Amino acid sequence: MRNVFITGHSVISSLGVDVEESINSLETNKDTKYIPDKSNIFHKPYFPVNFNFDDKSDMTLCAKIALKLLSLTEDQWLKLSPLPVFMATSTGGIKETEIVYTKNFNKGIKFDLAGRHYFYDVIPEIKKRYDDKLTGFMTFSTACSSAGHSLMHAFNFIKNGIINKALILAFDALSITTLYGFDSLKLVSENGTMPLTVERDGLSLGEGGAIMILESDPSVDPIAEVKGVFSNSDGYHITSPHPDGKMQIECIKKTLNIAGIYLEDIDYINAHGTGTQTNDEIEMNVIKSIFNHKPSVSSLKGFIGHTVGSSALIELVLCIEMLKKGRIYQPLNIKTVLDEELIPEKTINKTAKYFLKNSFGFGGNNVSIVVKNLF
Amino acid sequence: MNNYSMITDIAYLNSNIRTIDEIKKLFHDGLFNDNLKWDDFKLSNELTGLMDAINSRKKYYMSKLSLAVYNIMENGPGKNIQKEDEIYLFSGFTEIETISKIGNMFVEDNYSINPAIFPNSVHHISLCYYTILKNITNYCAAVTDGLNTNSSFINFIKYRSKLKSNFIIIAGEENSQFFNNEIKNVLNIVPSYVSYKIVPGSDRGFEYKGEYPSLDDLTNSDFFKDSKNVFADKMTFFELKNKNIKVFSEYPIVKDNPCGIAFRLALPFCLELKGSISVIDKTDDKYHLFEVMI
Repeated sequence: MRNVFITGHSVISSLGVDVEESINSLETNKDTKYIPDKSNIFHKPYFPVNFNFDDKSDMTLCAKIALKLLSLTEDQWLKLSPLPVFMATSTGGIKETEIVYTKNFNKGIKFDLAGRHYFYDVIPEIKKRYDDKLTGFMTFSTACSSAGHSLMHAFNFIKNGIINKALILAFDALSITTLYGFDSLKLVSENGTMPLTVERDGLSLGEGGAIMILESDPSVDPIAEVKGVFSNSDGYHITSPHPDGKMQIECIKKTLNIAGIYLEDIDYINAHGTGTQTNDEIEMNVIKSIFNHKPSVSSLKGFIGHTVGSSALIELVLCIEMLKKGRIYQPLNIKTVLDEELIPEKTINKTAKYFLKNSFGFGGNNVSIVVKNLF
Repeated sequence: MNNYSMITDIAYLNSNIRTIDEIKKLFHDGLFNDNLKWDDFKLSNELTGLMDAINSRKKYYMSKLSLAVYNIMENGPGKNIQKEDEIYLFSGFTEIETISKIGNMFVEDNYSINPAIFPNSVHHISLCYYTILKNITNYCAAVTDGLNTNSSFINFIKYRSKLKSNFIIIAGEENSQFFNNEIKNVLNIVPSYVSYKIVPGSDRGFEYKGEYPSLDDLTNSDFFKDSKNVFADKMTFFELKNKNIKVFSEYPIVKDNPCGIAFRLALPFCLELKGSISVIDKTDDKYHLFEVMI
């Protein structure tokens, strides 16, 4: 079995573009939440990306995010090309289709829907720019756990010697479908998400993307190592996790088993931590049932919102970078945490050799990831 | 060397096909190698009776794709599913009718979304319904790449079939009024599905042989020359026919659905054809070759 090293990464979210800006925003506790006024089509807070992509292009936002991430890390991955690309998205470019529906369908106007709907222009746009430098595209879409699946398959193929390098590319864009859709399920926070707190009242959506380069024979000093990834299903409910969390428990334990480490080796857990009543309660119960040694637990969704299909990878990159800085960030105005022994009540200094990342999607689709930091 | 992957527990589903015997009859009637019969082989946009197999009120909330996935699993690899079997759905447009309904809700109901409909918009929801109804906890994932889904299937299969654990493939599309507004890629998307289990590490089955820059390069390969039967996508079918090479295509039972290779790869196994078989797919201006030895 081969090792799977992370030799490059980058991230785009409401915190900024690339890791440096993102960590600076966390360090300075920049509030990137957007609170819409009454004239806005959706009235509850969300976390948009504030970056001036090439506005003259008619590419979907997902394609712009994907190309920006590729350009940010070009110096690293071009040397390794050709590379297979494991992509992930959930809502993707639905926002562009929404515009078509809301403005033009009733007028019987036809559009290039198959080519531009959802995120289906991403692969053609990438090929247009990078030709055959990137090959072997495939996109996993399992709602909130999507990026976890992309990482899992790249990890398994590299670990088993089938390939020796891969690019993981995840992206998601805000859309009326997701904003109103989650709101219809009464899952959206009125004033901005407060994950893992007693006062939490729901999630806030976000957008962005992340990219990660994996290699078995690192061409540069690796940043970290993916030690284990596992996924299973609850088989319980379309939108709610099983109250006992039994399959989440199994998912975490199997991930640790694959990683070949003990429970006590986990110093930090980055929770899925959406800010909903159900998810946070069940997830904390799951964590407490497994880990007796009280690792630190936090969620990054209070800073960037729930970036849906790209969340696992965005948060993984941010975790690596924040732990590299020796910090676990908490929002300045954090309320009462669910567990004072596990969840820091403010930003703290903390290092972690091994950390766990959870990602739990609609329909009870669970993914857990263990990473070993190498700094 | 057990480098092959066997395909078992196959099921096909569309308005004209519910059983393997029906596929075999169509094959023996020449549907797959006589393109003159293709236009007359029409597939309906509605599949009837899909709720009959589901003993739960959840069926009233499930999309057409979800109902089809349930049925095709029940008739195929679901009969013999093990806890460790991973389940993958390959679909170009997955829950497209739900997206269309939501889009219409925005226009007609001033952005009001029915909460029972929104979860149906996520791409793997059909697999979630299946696991919930069957009370199983198998790994599930959807792979969806629009018109590039054929390519995604090949990219995934060529790696995944080298891991020794079994997995299940479901492929198909639901029809939708969404496609009525398409201007550029005017496609005949039909509700047609296939499912099967793949057993890697077998001494017989399929193996991905690689990609060729031209059809001539592929047809000059040793394996192709030794093949007793050839299966190809629609475009390559006509190219090979022009070379007087006898060839079959799954096209009449899949039409323009963007994952024809998933259907094509299983056909030799379903038809129990013996000897060496070439399964070809032209994607991204390259010709991909699967060797099938049954």
